[in-house]
Order: sequence, then C-alpha cells, then structure tokens
Amino acid sequence: MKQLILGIIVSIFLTSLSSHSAQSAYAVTVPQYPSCVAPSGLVKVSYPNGTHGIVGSSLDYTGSDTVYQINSDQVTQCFCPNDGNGGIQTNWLNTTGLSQEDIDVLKHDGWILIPNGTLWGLDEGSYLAKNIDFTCKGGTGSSNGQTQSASGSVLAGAIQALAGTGNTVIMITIFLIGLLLLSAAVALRKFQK
Amino acid sequence: MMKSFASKICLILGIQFVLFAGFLYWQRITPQRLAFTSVEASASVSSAIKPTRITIPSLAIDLPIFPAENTSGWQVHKNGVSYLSSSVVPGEKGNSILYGHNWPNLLGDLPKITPDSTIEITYSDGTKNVFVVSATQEVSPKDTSVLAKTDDQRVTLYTCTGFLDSKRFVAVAMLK
Repeated sequence: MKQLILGIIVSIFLTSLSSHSAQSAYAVTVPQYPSCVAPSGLVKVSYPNGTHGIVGSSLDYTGSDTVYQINSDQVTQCFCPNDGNGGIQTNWLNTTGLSQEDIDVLKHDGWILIPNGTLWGLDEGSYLAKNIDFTCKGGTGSSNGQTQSASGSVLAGAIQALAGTGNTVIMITIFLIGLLLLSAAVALRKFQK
Repeated sequence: MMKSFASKICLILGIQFVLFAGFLYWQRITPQRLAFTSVEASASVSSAIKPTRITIPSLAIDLPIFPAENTSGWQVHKNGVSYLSSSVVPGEKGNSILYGHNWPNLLGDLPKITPDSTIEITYSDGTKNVFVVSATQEVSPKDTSVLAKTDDQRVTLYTCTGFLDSKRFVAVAMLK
C-alpha cells in the first residue's frame, strides 16, 4: 500500500516534470494573441448576426462574428453563438517567415494549415489557425460586448504576466520533499541496524 | 552514530515539511480563517471611495476586497480578493482589475461562473454597483491583454486554473 501511494506521488511529480520539459522542447515561439474577452486590434469585419464558418469544422455556426487585425501576420476571430454557449476564438497566423519545420511543430500543437487565406476573407497566402473556447453573452448583435477594440496598453506599466493566484506547485513540492526526507530517515535507520 | 544523527535530522525536517504542506492545504480550504478586521481597516489608506466587498450570488461568493499593487510583483491577499489599485475603481470608465487565489474559500468556484451572472461590488461609502458577466475564458498567464484599458465600465476578475495552476480563468463583467 505504501509503495502504491509513493508510486502515485512519484508518477505525478515525473509527469509534471516531463510536461514542462516537453513544452520547453518546442522551438517555435507563437506570438501572443489578445483574448476575445478583451480583444484589441483593428476591427476588420463585424457581423452582429449570421451564419459563419469555423476553421476545422464543417458545421455552420449562427451568431455574431468579429475579426480583428492585430498586425500584418496576426488576425483574431471572435465568434459568439446566439445562445452564448460555445464561443470560439480563432487565432490566425500568416505562415510567411515560418519554416516548414516551424509549421510542422505548430501543426503538431493543434494548429490547422489553411493553404489559401482569401477563402476565409483574409489576405493572400497560407495561414495557420487554432481554435480556443470561450463563453460569451449570446443574443443577436450582442457579440461578447467587445466589438470596440481595447486600447492595447496594459495597466500599471510593463506587466509581463498575470498574477499567480494558486500555490498548488509549492504545496506539492513541499509535501514531496517532506516525504523524501522521511523516507531517507527510515532508510538510514534500517541501514544502521 | 553519524547515520543516527542524519536519520534524526531527516525525520525532523521531513515532519516539518509535511506539516507545512498540510498548513498550506488547510489555508486553502478553511473559510475566512484569516479575515482579521484590522487588515480591512488598515487597507483603507485613501479617503477616496474604494471597493470593499465582492458578492457573486450564483456562486455563493461573498468576500472582502483589499487594495493591491504591482510594483515588484503582484501582491495577492490571502484573505480576500485583491483589487489592483492602479486600475480604475469598479464602475468608473475603464477596466478594473480584481483577482484572487483559486482556493475553495476564495475564488475556487469562479470557473463555474456563466455569462449573465451578476457580480456585486460594495464600496467604502456603503453604495453598491451590479455588473453582469459578458464573457469568460481560460488564458495563458502571459496574456496581459485582459488588463488593457477600455472605454467601457468593466470589471475583470480572474484566478488561477488548470493543471498545477498553469492557466488563468478570466471573467469580464460590464456595469449594469
């Protein structure tokens, strides 16, 4: 029983370590996209209601749709269905400047390659696209209340990241160190005998 | 002799580490065990009207709000919700930033919030404003776009979520 518990703890620890190292192994740095809860950029198109296509899905989606041009290579599409459930943020990245290896890595990370952007109302060239879920306030024309573009400037100077509001990692690490020390104490006693 | 000494040291340190981990866990699950009234009083450093309490009826969340700063890192209060005092007061034009730990006694249930839920903010003068959630999303901790200034009157409330707190759950609410 003790071995089982220890095995589970070690497995959790190793899984967290391996997932971290796996993330570090990716060489491609994906540029940051603003969230659809606070989008920024130039509003390219905005439809308060209608049927829209979502990349990677053959279904038709009914609701509001706003597309933001962040820069020449990045576009964000915020789709909000009429019932509010299942909002989809699609991040678009022009593949210009990306190597085939970069594209392969991003495809492995869930991005979808779109050979012709003009079919999706974008500029010419191929794009990578990735969908992210969000929830929004549904209803015709309500969008997510974000059709205005945020200023993009961040409060309180150069904030690099959001606040860390959890201590799970610290708690687990301290617990594991404690267990290791206790195991070492037991092992040393046995060895002494 | 040496091994016996080392064994005792490991035993003492091991117990201390495990107990401290237990304390951190207890801290997460014990409701309001640190809600000292003196903290609330000392937090009121400005004569201007400040948010003092946040209530989310649909999640049975009712917590004090404490002003917080981001000078050399984020200040996160352990006994309530932190209000980034460099952002606008909730209800004023702009983006008011509120955040808190994802502990069960704080904002642990925030990811259950849905659009159209209401968030009530009470102020130091006893007045109250109601905000309606318009959108929620799980974002990367690097996504500071949610802190951007806006032309509307909004509250951005967030907490940690995901595996080992690797993500942030963000809820945006507009003044009703």
